[in-house]
Amino acid sequence: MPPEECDTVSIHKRKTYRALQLAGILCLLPATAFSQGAKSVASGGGMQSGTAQMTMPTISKAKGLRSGDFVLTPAVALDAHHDTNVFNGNQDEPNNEPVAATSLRIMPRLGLNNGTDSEVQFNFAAAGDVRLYMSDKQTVDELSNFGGSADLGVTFAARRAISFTFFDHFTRALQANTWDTRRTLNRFGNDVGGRVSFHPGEIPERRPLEVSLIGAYAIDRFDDFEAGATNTVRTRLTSSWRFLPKTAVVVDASWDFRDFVNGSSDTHNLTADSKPWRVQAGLAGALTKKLTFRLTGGWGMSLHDIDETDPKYTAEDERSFNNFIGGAALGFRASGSTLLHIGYTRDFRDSYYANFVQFHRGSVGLNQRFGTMLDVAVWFNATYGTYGAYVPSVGVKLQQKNRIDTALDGGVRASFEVSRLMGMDIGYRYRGVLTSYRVSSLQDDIIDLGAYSAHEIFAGVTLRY
Amino acid sequence: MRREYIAMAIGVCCLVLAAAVGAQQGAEKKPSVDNIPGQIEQAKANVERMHKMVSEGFKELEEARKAQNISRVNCVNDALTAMKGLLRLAESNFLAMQEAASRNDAGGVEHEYVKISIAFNKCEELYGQLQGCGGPSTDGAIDGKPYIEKQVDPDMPEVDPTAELDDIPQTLENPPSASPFYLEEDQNPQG
Repeated sequence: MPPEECDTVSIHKRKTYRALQLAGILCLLPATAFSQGAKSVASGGGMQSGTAQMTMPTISKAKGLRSGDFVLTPAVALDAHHDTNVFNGNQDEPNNEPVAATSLRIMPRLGLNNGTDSEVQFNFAAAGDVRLYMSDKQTVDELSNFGGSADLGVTFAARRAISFTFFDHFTRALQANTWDTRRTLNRFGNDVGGRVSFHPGEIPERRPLEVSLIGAYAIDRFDDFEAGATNTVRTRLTSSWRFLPKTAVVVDASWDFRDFVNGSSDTHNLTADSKPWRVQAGLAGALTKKLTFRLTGGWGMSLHDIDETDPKYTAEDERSFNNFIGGAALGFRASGSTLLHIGYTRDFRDSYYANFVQFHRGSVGLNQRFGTMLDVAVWFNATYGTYGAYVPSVGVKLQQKNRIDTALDGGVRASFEVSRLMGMDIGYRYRGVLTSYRVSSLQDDIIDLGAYSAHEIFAGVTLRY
Repeated sequence: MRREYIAMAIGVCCLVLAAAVGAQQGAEKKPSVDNIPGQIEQAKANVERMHKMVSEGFKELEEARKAQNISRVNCVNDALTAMKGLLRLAESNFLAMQEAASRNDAGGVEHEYVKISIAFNKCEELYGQLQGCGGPSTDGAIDGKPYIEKQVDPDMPEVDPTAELDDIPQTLENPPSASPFYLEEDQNPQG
C-alpha cells in the first residue's frame, strides 16, 4: 500500500470505510504516524494514483462483535512518534531551523457494517486521533489537539441493477505549519454526496459492466488560515467493463468547481478559483496469475480563473494546467507472501502556490509476510513537480518563476500480530523536498527555503476485538 | 372442515376397499385365534406411532408459523389434517379390535387389524410429505437468505481492476513549504 493512502493529511481516501475495515489494522494505525508530512507535491486523486497493487488477506485475526448481519469492530491504538523536523524547517533558514518533536497518539477506532449480501448496505467507520506533544517549546506544544475522521456510506438496492448510495466523509486533520509558528494548518473537511450506479446482470458477483455517477459537496476550513477556506462541487463519472474476471477497461471523468470562500487570487496572494477536469481511459487488472498492471491515459485542465491582463505575466507563462495525464503500473506476486509493485504517474493538482503543480511520480514498494505473525512494508516515492508561473506582489524575490520540487517519501513498517486481541507496529519514514527554490528579500537575504528533510520513527500497540 | 371430510372420505374408501380385500382373503383362509395377541400388540404399536407422528406434525406447524412461511404452513396443515382423520379412524378400529378379541372373534380382530395397518401406512406417507414441506422441492422456493459461496482459483491475484472508481476521494491539500502567501497576512512569517 503506497504511503499516500496511509497519510491522513494528504487524505487520499478511496473507500475509506472499507479500508478501515479490511486494511485499517495493517495500515491506519501506523499511518497516523505518517501524518506529519506536508508534501510539497501531493498525490493526485482517484484513478490518477496509478497503482496496480495486489493485496494479501489481512494478517489480523480480529473478528469484531456480531449482532445479526452487523459486525462492530472496536479498537484503540497507542503510538509513540518522533519527528526530527515537525515544521519542515531548514538549517539555512533563519528562525526556522528543524525542530524535533515527540508525541503520544491515542487513536480509538470503530467500524460498523452489515456485509455485502444485503440490499441495504451500511458502512460506518470512525477514527479518533488525539495527539499529545511533549515539549517545552510553545509552538510544538500548541500542536497537541484532537483529530480524526468519520465515514458513512449507505447503499440502497445494492444487489439490483441500479443502486443508490449516500455518503459522507468527515475529517478533522491535524497538521503542523511549514514554519515554526503557533498557527497550525489544522482543518475540518467534509464531503457529502451521493452515487447512482448502473450494473446490469442477474448475479451481482458476475456483472461485467458498471457505470457510476457521483456528486459531492465539499467544504474545507482551516483553524488559522481563513484565506484557504474553500467550497467545492465535485462530480465524477466512471465506467468499467470486465472483459475478464480480473481485467477491465476503465473510463474515468471528473469535474470539480472550487471556490475560495474569502475571495481568491491576488487579495491573499493565493491561488485562484478553479474548475479542474480530467478524462482518462485505460486497462487495469491481471495480465497473468502473478502479474497485474494499470495503463491509463487522458487529458486534464485545471481551468483556473486567472486574470489574463495581469502585467506581471507574459503570454508564455503557464498559470493553468492544460496537458496530457496518465499512468502505468505493474504489480508482481513473487510468492504467496511477497508482493512487489512499481508505478509511474503523470498528473496535476490544485496548489495553494501558483495555482497548480504538474508532476511525474515514480513509486516502488514491497510487501513481505513472514508466517502469520509479521508483515513488513517498504516503499519509496519520488515526485518531480513543476508549479505554475508565479510572481509575488509583495517586496520579495523568488529564485524561480516556475518552482521545481523533487519530493521524496520512503519508509519501512513492520506489523506484528501478537495475539488476536493485540498487534504492534514499528516503523521509520523519511520525507523531504529537494529544491533550489527560496524566497529572498530585495536585499537577497533568505526569508524562506523550500528544501527540507525529516525523519520519523514510531512504535505502537493496538488493542482490538 | 372441508379438508377433514375429504380426508375422512379417502380413509373410509381405503378401509372399505381393504375390508373387501380382507373379506375375499378370509374366504380363502380362515383366521386363527392364536394370532390375536400378536395382532393386538402390533395394532397398538401402530396407533401409538401414529400419535407420535401427529404430535411431531404439530411441532412442524408451530415452526412454520414462527418463521411466517405461509406456503410451509399450508403444506403442513394439509398433511396434518388428513393424519388426524386417519388417527381417529385407527383409534376407533383399535377399540373395535379389542372388543372382537374379548369375544375371541379372530375374523373380527383381523378385519380391524387390516384397517389399522392401512391407516398406519397412509399416515406414514403423509408424515413423509409433511417433513418435506418448505424444502427445495416445493416449487423451487428458497426459505431465508441464499448463501452464496464463491469459489476462486487460489492462484488468481487479489486485485480489483475497478478499485477507486466508486467514490470521490477526499483531497485536503496542504500549502507547500516556503509559500509566500503568508507575507501579506502576516508580515513576519517566521513568527
